[in-house]
Amino acid sequence: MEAPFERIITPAERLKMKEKMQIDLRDITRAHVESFNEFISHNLPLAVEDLEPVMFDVNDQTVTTRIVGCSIGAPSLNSRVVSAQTDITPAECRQCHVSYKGNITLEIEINVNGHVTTVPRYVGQAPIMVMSDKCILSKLTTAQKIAKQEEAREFGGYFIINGNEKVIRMLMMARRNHPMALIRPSFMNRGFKYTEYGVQIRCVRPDETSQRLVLHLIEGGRCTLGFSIRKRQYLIPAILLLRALKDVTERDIYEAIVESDPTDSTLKEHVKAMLNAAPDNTYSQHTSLEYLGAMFRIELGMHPSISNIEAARHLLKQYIFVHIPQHDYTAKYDLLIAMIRRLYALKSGRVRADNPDSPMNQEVLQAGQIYGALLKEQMQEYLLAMKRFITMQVNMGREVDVGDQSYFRNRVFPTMPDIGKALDYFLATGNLKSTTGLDQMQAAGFAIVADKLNILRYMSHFRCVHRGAYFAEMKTTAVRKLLPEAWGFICPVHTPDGAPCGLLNHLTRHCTPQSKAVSPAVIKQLRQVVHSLGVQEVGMHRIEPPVLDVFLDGVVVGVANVKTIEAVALKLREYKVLGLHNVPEVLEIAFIPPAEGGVYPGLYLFTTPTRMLRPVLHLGTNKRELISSLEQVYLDIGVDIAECHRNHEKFGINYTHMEISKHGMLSVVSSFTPFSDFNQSPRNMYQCQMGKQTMGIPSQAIPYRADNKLYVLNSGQTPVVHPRAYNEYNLDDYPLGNNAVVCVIAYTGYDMEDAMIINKGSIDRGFMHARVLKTEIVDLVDRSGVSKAFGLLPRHRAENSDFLDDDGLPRVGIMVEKGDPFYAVVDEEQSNHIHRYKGEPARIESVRLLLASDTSTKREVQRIAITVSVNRNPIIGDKFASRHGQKGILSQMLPSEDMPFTESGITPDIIFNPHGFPSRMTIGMLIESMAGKAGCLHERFYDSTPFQFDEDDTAVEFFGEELRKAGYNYFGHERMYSGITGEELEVDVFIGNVFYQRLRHMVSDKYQVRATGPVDSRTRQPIKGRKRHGGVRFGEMERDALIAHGTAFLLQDRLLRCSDDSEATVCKSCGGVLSTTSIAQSAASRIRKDVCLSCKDSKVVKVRLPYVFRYLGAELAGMNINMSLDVSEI
Amino acid sequence: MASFNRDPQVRIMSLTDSEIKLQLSNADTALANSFRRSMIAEVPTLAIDDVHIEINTTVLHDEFIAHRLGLIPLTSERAAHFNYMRDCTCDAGCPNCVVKLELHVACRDAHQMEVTTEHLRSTLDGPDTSVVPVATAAERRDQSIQGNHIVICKIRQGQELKLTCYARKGVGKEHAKWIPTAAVAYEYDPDNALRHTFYEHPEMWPRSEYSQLTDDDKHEADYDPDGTADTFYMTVESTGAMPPEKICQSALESLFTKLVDLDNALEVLNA
Repeated sequence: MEAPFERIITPAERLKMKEKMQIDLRDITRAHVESFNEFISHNLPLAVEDLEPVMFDVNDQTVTTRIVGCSIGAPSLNSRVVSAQTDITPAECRQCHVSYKGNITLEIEINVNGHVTTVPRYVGQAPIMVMSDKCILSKLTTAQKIAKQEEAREFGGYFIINGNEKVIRMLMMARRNHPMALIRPSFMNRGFKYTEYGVQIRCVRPDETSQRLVLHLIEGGRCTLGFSIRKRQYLIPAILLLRALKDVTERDIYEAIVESDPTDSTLKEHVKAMLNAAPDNTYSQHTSLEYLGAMFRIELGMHPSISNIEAARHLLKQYIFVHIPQHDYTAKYDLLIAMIRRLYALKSGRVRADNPDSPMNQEVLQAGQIYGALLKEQMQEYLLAMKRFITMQVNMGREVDVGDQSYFRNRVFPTMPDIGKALDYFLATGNLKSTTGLDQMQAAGFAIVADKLNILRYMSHFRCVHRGAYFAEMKTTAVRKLLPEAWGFICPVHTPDGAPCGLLNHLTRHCTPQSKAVSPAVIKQLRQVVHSLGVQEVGMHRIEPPVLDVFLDGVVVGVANVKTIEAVALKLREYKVLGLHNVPEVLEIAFIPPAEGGVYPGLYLFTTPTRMLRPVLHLGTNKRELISSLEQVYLDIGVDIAECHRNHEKFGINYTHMEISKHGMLSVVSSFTPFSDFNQSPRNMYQCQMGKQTMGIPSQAIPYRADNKLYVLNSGQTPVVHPRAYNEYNLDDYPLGNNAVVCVIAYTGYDMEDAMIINKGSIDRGFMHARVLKTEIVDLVDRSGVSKAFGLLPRHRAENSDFLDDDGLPRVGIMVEKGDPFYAVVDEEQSNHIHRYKGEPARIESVRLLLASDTSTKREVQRIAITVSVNRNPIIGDKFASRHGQKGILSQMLPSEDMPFTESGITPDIIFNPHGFPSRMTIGMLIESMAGKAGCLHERFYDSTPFQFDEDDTAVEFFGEELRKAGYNYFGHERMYSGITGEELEVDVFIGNVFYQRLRHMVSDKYQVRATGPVDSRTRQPIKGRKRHGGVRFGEMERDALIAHGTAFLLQDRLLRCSDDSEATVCKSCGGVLSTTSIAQSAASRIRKDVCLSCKDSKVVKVRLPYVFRYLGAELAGMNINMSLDVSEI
Repeated sequence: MASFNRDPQVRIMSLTDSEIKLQLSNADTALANSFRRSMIAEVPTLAIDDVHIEINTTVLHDEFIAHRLGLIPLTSERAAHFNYMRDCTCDAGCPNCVVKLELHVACRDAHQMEVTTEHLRSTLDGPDTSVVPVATAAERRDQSIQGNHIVICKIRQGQELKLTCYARKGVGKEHAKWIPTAAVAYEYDPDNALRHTFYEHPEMWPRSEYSQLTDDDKHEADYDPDGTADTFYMTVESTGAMPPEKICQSALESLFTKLVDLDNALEVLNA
C-alpha cells in the first residue's frame, strides 16, 4: 500500500521525502531494456537453434549449411576504422552522429558430403540498446556515468543510429497461444462457402518469433486451418491435420468434439461433414503425412533427398502450433480439437466472439522481440543467399569448390549481405524489409526518434504502445474505444486527439510488460501442480459435466469439472501469492466461468512474456500480486478499503484484491497534472499533449549532445503545487516552467479569445527566458578522398579575424548574424571558400571536431559540429499554457505600472481571461491557483495528487481555510486597483499562483512575411513555404471576403499586382496570346517589334494579364483548343 | 490639478530601511496613482547595463550571467547626479554616466564555490566607489551585517568567471532592473464604504489594517453615496537600491518636472 498522504509539505520535509520516494527512472524503460537483454541471452541462442539448415547440390556434392552460433560483441567502431581505440561510448555516438553498434559474428557450419567445417564470420554490426547488458553503461555507477558524459539518471532503452536516439515502439498484439473466437466478415472471402466464423491463434516460438493460424468454418461444418508461408496464404482441411498429428479413428475425433455438447444435433452433422472432408487416401497418420509432405515440399524448399514424411513433419514443426515443442503431436492435436469445438460453439451462438481490440486479449510486443525476429530472419536469409550465390555460380559454369574453405572465404562470404545494415536500416527508417513479414500487419513505423524536447516527451516515447499502423486507416472507430478492460494497464487520459486517438496509448505507471520467459522446468513443475490439484489428463476418464479445458500457455494440459476448476484457480492463486510450489509470480490465472452467450469458458494459465502486468494487493494474504489483463476481468478489485466495505455491505461483493494506489491508473505523464480529478476530462488529455511540447531543461548533459535543435528554459522552477509523482520521478532534475501570479480578469481587451497578458517587468526579470541550441554538422568528406580542409588562408585573415580563427572555424563565444563568416574551407586549388551564417542572431556555443563517420578511414578533420545558442526570451506571439490544458498566446507585455495591483502591492505576472473557465471547466486550475497562493504565503508546498479530496472533505474548503489563516480572503479573491486610473476595480478578482509552461511553438519560428520574392517558374505566382521565403496563400474564401466588401483595389493588389501580373501581347486579328512574339526589325537593328507569328501581322497590342492565364492558354493549346481574346482600344 | 489645489497632505506612519507607510490625504485617485506609477517607472536608478565577458567556464551561459548581473540592485542614492548615457557629452561612457565594476573569480579547490555580489568590485579608476551592490553597502555601513550577498553563480574546481560590468542610469519603464520598488500599493476605502467593489460575502473578507469599524460583527461600512476617495494609505517597499523615502522624493520630483514641462508647453501653446 502507498504511504498516507501529507497535503502540506514544508521545503525541509520535501527534501527528505524526495529521497525516500524517488523511484528508479530505469523502471520507465524496463520493458525495452529487459526485452533486449532477454533477446541477447535467451532468445538468440534459441533462434539459432531453430534456424533451418539449407541443403543444396553442387555438382555431385550435397552441401548443408547451418548457423550454429551467433554472438554480438561489445560496442565498437567499425573494424575498418583506423584508430588505436575501437570501443565507443553512447555520448560519442550522439555527438559524432554515428551508430552505437557491436560486431555480429556467425558460426557457420558447412557440411559437404558429411565433411563438416565450422567458420566464424563477421557479418556486420548490430545496433546495441543503451543500458542493456551489452552496453558499456549498464554496470556503471552514477559518477561513472557522468564521467562518460551521460545523464546521471540515464535510463537507456533506445538505440543510437547516426546520432539519433531511436526507440522501437511497443506494439499491441493478439495475446499469444490463446485461441480467440472471431466473427469477421472478411473470413467469407477466403473461399467458396466460407463463413464469417473463425478461431485465431497467434503461436509464439520459444525464441519469440510468431506464426498466426486461423481455423475457418465452411458452411455445412467443414473446417480448414489457414496460415502463411513467406506471406503466401495456405488452407489445410482440419481433418487432414488431425490425422497427421495423431493416429486416431474417426470415432475418436467425433467423440472428442461432440463430447462438449452431446445434445446438439447440428454439431453432430457438422462434425460428420468435417470428417468426410479428408482428401482421398489420407485415412492414417502415415498417409496423411505423406499427402501433406507431397503438397508442401516445393513450397518449403525441401531437398530431394528428404522424404515426404519428413517434409510434412517439417511443416508441422515450423508452421503448425509452433509454441508446442515439435515432437509433442498429441498436444497439437488436443489444441486443434479444442479450437474446433470453440469454432462450432461460436457458430451455434452458445458463446460470444472474443473482442480482439480488448486489452484482455492482447499483449505488448517489445523492442527485443521485434529486433530478435528480424535478426533471425536475416540469419536465415544469409544461408539462403549463400545457396543462391553458389547455385548461380554453378549454373554460370564458374569454378566452384565447396570442399575448399578458402573458396567460401574469398568468393562466397565477401558477396554476402551485411546483416548489420539490415538492422541499421530497420532502426533508422522504421521500415521492415522482410521476406516473411515477421507475422506483422505493418511494414513501416516500427522505430521512432526519441525526441529530447523535454523529459515528459522523452519518457512517453518509452511508455507508448501503438495498436498498429493497419488500424490507423480503418474507418470504424471501434478499435479506438477505451474499454473497461484497459483499467490499470492503459492510461485512459494519455492519448493524443486527432488521427492517432485511441490507437497510440500509454502504459500506466505501474504497468510493466513481462520481458523474461519462465524456464521450462518451472512450467513443467507447474503442470504437475495443476494435476495434483485435481485436473485430469485429456481423454483419460469420465468427469461429471460440465467439463472445462485447462490451458497452460496455450497447451491443453487437462480437463476438469467446473467446481474443481474453480477450486484449482483459487489454490493456484494462493500458491502464486505466497510463492509456494515454485509457482511463478508472473503466472496469470484466468478462470472464465461458463455463462450462456458468454466468452468460451475454461481455465487459462499463462506464464508467457510480453503480457502486461501490474501489481495489486491480494486481500487474502495482504501481499502484492502481479495480475495481467485477462484474469483482471474475472477478479474483484476494490479501489480502496472504504469502497470494499461499502460495496460488500450494499451489494455483497467479496473483493479479493485492492488497488495499490488510486492514481495508479494514470500514465507517467498524466500523473503530473495537478488536481486532474477536478478537470473536465478532455482538458487532462490536452495537458498530456501540451506537457510534451513544453520547453524545459531536457537533459543534464547538454554540452555533450548534438541534437539539431534543443530547447532549453533558462531558469525552471519547482511548482509550488505538485503531485506526488513529481517527487517520485524527481522532476526537479528536469524543470518544466515557472510559477506565475495569475489574476483572472478581463483587462485592456488584450486577453480576449485565449490571449494572455504578461507583465513586462516579469519578463525583464527572467520569466520564461529560454534559448534554442542549434547544431549544424559540416561534413567535407566526399568520394574522391580528402580534397578539402577547414582553414583560413593568410590573405583572408584580416577581414575575417573577428569571426574565424586561422583554422577556419568560428571563434567560440562570439555573436553571429545572418551573413557573417561561419566557417572557411580550403580546397585543392588553395582557394578559400568562406561559408556564411544563415539564421537568427546567435552566439557560438561550441565547435566540436568529429570522427568522419563510423566507417571512415580518414584521420584528417573532415567533420565538425558547430553549436549556436539562440536567445528566445518571450515575445508577443509566443505560446504558454498552465497544466490544465489552458493554452494562450502572449498578446501584450504590459508595463508593470499599468498592471492592476492588489492592496499588498502585488502585480500579476499573467492576466487570464475569465471566459476561459466556464466552458472548459478546468476547476483544477482554480484549485491550483488557491493552493499556490497559500503555499507562497505559508512558505510550503502542497500535494496535488488526484483523488485525495472528496465530497465530505473538499479542496475548496481546505485551501480556503489555508488562505484565511494567512489573512487572505477565503475564496482566493482580492480587491484590485486599476494600474491605469488608480481606481478600485468593481469586481473582486480571483488571484493566485499557477505553474505555467512555455510551449515550444514560438513566433520567431513561424512568422512569415514577403513583399516580393521567389516565384514559381511556370505560373509566376509566389511560391509557398516559409523556408523559401514564399507567400501566405490568399485563397478563395479570402477572395470572397474582399469581393463582399467591395474593396476592388485591394482585390486587384493581392491577386494581380502582388502575384503574377505581367504584360502580354495579343494579336488584334487572331486574338492569340501565345502566337505573338517580339522580333528584331532587322538583323542589325536593336529595335524590336511585336508580331503575331500565326497571322504574320504586326497589329499586336499590349495588355496586362495574370501570367497564369498564358499558361492556361498553353495547356488548352496542348489539347487542341484555341484561345482567342477579343481586344479593342477603349 | 484639483488635488493640488486641495493641498494634499502626507503623513508618514512608519519607516524602515526597506519600507515606508504613508497616508496621503486631501488627494484623489489621479494624484495617488500618478505618484505610485512614478515610483515604479520614473525614479532613476543605476543598474548594470553592459557586461563584457572575458572568461566564462561556468555551467551558466553568458547571457544568463549577464541577465543576473543586471538585476542586482546597486546603491542608487546618487543616481540623480549621473547623466543618462544618451544625454552625456562623452562618446563611450565617462565617470559622469558609467560606473565600472569588475569580477574575477576562479575556483581552485575541490569544493563548490559561490560567486556573489561580494566579488563584484568597483574599480579604483571609477569616480564613485559608492555605487556598489546593496549588500556590500550594507556591510560597509555596519560591519555586523554579513552574508546577504546575492549569488551570481556557483562554480566548481577549474571553473572561472572574469568580466567587466558597466552600470548606467535608467528608469523602470525602460527595463525592470531599474525599478527601485519591490511593491507599491495603496488603498483608499478600507471598509468599502464607497462600494466601488461589490462583495458577495463581506464576512469572508479579512479586515484592513486601516479599518475604522469598531463593531466585530460588521464586515462592511454603511454605504456612503456622497463619499469620494481622498485618503490613500500607501505602502512602498524598496529593493534596497534606494531608501524608500528617497524613492518617494525622487518620484515626486519626476512628477513635478513633468508637470512643469506640461505647464510650460501649455503656456507656449496659449501664447
